Amino acid sequence: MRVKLVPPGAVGRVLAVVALTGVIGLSLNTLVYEGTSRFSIREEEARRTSEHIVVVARMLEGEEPGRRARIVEYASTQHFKLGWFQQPISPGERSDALTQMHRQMVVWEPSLAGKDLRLHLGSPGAATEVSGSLQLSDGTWLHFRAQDLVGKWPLKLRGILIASLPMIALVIIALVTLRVILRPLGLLAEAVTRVGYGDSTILPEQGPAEFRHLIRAYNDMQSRIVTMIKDRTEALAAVGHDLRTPLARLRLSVDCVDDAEMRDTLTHDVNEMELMLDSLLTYFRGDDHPEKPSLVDVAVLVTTVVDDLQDRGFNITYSGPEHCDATLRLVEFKRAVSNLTNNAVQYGNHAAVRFTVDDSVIRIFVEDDGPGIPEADMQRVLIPFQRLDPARQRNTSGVGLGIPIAVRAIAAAGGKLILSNRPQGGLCAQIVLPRQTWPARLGNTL
Amino acid sequence: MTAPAVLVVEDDPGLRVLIARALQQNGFAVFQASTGAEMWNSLEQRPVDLIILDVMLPGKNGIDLCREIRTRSDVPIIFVSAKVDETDRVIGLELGADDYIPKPFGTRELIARVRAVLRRRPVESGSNGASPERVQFAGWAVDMRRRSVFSPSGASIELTGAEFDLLASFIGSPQRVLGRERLIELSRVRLGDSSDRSIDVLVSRLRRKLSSAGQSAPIVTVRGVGYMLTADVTHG
Repeated sequence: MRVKLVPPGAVGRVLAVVALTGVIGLSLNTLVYEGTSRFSIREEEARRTSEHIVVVARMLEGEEPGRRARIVEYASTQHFKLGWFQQPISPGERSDALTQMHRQMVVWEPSLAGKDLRLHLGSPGAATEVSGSLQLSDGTWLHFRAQDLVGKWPLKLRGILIASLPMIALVIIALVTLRVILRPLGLLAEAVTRVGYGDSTILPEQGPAEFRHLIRAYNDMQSRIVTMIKDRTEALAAVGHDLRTPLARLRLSVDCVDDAEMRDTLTHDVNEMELMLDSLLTYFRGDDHPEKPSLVDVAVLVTTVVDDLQDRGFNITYSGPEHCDATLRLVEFKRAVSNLTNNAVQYGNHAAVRFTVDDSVIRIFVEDDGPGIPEADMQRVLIPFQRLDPARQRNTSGVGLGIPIAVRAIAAAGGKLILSNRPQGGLCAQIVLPRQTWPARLGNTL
Repeated sequence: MTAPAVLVVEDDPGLRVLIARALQQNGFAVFQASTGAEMWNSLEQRPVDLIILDVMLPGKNGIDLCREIRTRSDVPIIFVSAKVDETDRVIGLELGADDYIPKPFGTRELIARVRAVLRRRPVESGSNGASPERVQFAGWAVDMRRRSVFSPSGASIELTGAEFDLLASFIGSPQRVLGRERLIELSRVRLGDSSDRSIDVLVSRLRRKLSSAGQSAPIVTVRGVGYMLTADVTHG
């Protein structure tokens, strides 16, 4: 049996973190405070210094003034300089930081207590130097200067830094631990954001118990949503298919109507119903593509779409190369181009299709001279079933799926659709297809 | 000349009657069946020149029936289906159906397709029966049944219906000058209902779409007479 060291709940884990950081903080603090004195003032040095100056002071007091200079000179070493003067070291200010050192020295050599020992920290150009002076029995002063008696950092700054180290360590530990614990929540948030954009992901159940429950609930909810959408889509598609038979009956019956005007009206209505049904079924067929991408002459495809519209009496022109091969799903992409050109001839009096190609991208511009789309509605037309203001419509048919279907088809080919209003009026729908995603067998571009 | 006999296999009674009436009004002798079993009964009583077969039938579906018919007969078959998926169309045509009409369809389209299929058949049986499904000319490949065209680089070339019919006429008579009248006659199915473009416009479009790498299309104008496909057409 594996022993579980990690508590399962988030509360337990946070408590564990707090306890852990508390323990670590406490132990580090103890270590640091115990060490501060040892580290900041080198105790050994301080003792030796006090012994040294006590001995020298006694020698000086026992000698006549004439020989004192020589003694002082003899007693000096490279790191410990001594001098004999009539005055104490000026300025006579005492450094608080050295109070502790002063106490230590006096404790070690009690005879220093009556000699007015003064300590000073640093001198220009030597921050770690401790200098001092003490009064001899005849009122003259012994000066001394010791190098490296304290650590390199000024005592206070060093103390603060050392004291804050546990804090920094605690923050880092808490940060890392909490991030690890909260990671599943972040993943869940990402997954939830993606819901409805096609790719449904089942998240692994991980992390604290509460998170695992949440993730399981999310996974269940997601599969419920997917199933629900699938069921409804299938039902709708089935109805759509079934509608085709009565529609076929209607169409054949319409042909038997003798009144030509009535027949045209009825034919028009049947056509419109058929178009709506087609776009609905296309949209709901969704992303399961039975069609395989293949090499297609896109320039000819676009030309043919334009030719078809010309044959149906619309004013639309094509300009661009005669040939340009690309790999894509022919039927799907043709529908995208058709939807955009159909919109163009419906909303405008004249439509123009421009085809440009360079090394990296193919651009297909479908432009019309119609009313365009108000900037505020630019995003709305990309959403399924959104139709713009009825006042703007002119003999339009369909259920508002033309552009969404085009967007999806173009995205499937690795491209994107950019809608914009032309400065001279009308809409410009631009299809941008990257070329490098396709095989390099690019054909004849004239 | 007796009227061509057509058997309509469709389970929806209303639609079946309407199809039958449309065919009768256009001079066809029509027989009706609502299931596969009825179809076989009718075929035993008398052979027909063409079968219109609904894909979605109760019991045995149209695709299975088509397969069974093909094992014993070469009779032309036109599928009628409520599905418009490209795969359905392809499966139907690969099983040996001669055409595929998606629902809903109008009388004119129905009659045009039926006539086109009937017209295609006798010519083919004259030339050893096998229909030239795939033909090549000057590096271009054409699948007559699926109505698809491929460039020398292997890319699909989309043509309008009328343009394809015109190309099919050229392929049917390679290296022969075809007058405008003759081309209109050969392609009249499409030209009649979907396009009032003149042959000249269609030919110029076809030429543009069948050009490649700086080479012009293998269709030349014979001044004052008509047009000619200059390339050799190979089958298979």
